[in-house]
Amino acid sequence: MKLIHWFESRLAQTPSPWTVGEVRIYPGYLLTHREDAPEDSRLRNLSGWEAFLDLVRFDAAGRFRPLRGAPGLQKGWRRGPLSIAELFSDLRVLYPGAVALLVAWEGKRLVPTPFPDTARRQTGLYEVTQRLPREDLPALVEQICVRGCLRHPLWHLPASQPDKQERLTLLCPEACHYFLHQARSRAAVKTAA
Amino acid sequence: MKAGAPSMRISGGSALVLAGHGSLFSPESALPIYQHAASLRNTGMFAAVYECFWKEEPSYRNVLYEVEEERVYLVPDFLSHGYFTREILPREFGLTGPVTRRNSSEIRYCEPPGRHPRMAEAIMAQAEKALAQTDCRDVALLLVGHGTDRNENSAETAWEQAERIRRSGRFAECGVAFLEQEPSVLGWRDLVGPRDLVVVPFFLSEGKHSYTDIPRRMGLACHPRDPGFRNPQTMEGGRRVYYAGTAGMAPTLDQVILAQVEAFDEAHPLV
Ligand code: SF4
Repeated sequence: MKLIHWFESRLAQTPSPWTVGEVRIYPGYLLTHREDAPEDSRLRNLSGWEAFLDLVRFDAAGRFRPLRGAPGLQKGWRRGPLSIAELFSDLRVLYPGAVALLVAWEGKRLVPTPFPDTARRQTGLYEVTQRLPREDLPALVEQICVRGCLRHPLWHLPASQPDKQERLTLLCPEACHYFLHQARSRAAVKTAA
Repeated sequence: MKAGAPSMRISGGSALVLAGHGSLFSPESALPIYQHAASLRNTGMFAAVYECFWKEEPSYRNVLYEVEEERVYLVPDFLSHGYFTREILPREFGLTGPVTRRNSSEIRYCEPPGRHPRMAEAIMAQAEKALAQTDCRDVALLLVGHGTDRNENSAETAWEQAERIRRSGRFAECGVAFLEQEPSVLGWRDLVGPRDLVVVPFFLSEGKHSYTDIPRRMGLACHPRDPGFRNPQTMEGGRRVYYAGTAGMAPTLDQVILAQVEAFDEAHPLV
């Protein structure tokens, strides 16, 4: 089944409004920050891909958000009414790969990569992540992934197979570069000590 | 489609995956990749166009979960054909050669746009834009790339394009310099004759290298982001230096990407 059709039928099978990360989808489809009400007349209508990309890539203070899963999406906007194809492509911008990773996970095709394997592939400045002490990993995951990101780090915290009729969970099968950057700083400090 | 677009015969249902570098710090780094993807989506030549990044999301490793088309053109949205395009990308995508077949799908790994002959045109267009009305036949063009000691092929692309620019005869001469390898941009005065100069950063996006590193190492008083910046700046002996936008920001880059896809199909015909 095409990803877009899977997504459409998942929406049809679950009660609206639907929450994905920090956004909420209303029938029709309308997309807003989950803390905004779509009928609020103060919301600005956001059209065009460039404006939406800017909204996703920068926080309210104009700072760059390299990690899409990090909480801090701007509020005060509305997208829609959107076709299912437009909604699907907006989600790709908001949380890249979210639907595809969930479909692969539910279909038991998503294979998380253990951290040592990811670290082993790093070269140059990031090679030092290979020397990150094993015992430091849980604290880093807690700080960066659990508290600082809305995705579930499958590569470190095993998850039970999600309830198929449940939420649109954001998954992460492999430590991202943002994580590696933080891990690198930690490993470099340890190495120097 | 823009004028001068390659006459493509991409078989229906193919996907295009643009693999860029991206950055954790500079939002500008990924911008050209998004622009190229949007513009190539609009051509309707591909069933779908996907972006992916080394430093941002989606990653090279995750993007293929999104790709549903059986034939995939993977184009590194890079200028240099070096460490990333020859080592990192093939490894991360699990490529086995120019054409990688996996189950019923195939990945057709194209060369980066920076390597295509049409890239020379894009570089010269950026230079001419900076020069405005000035006759470029009296001006030297200096192409400044990054360079690296990690892969000896990295600089080759800049040299190839410089040679094409020289052969075109449109500029008085064309030199090449690098930030991280020899010949260093610090010695730029020895790399071109004592005439007016236009500098084109051989980078895909604007950023710290083009806004700060190159101008500072060249000793330019005004950097492109300074409020009073304008072309040209006058240096010792009255020499005028024009500073252009990066080669990768040339408006025809999407067409160069298409040309690379077409070149790939010529070299590896569809069966
Ligand atoms: S590694 Fe952690 S921070 Fe990075 S995307 Fe995954 S869960 Fe989020």
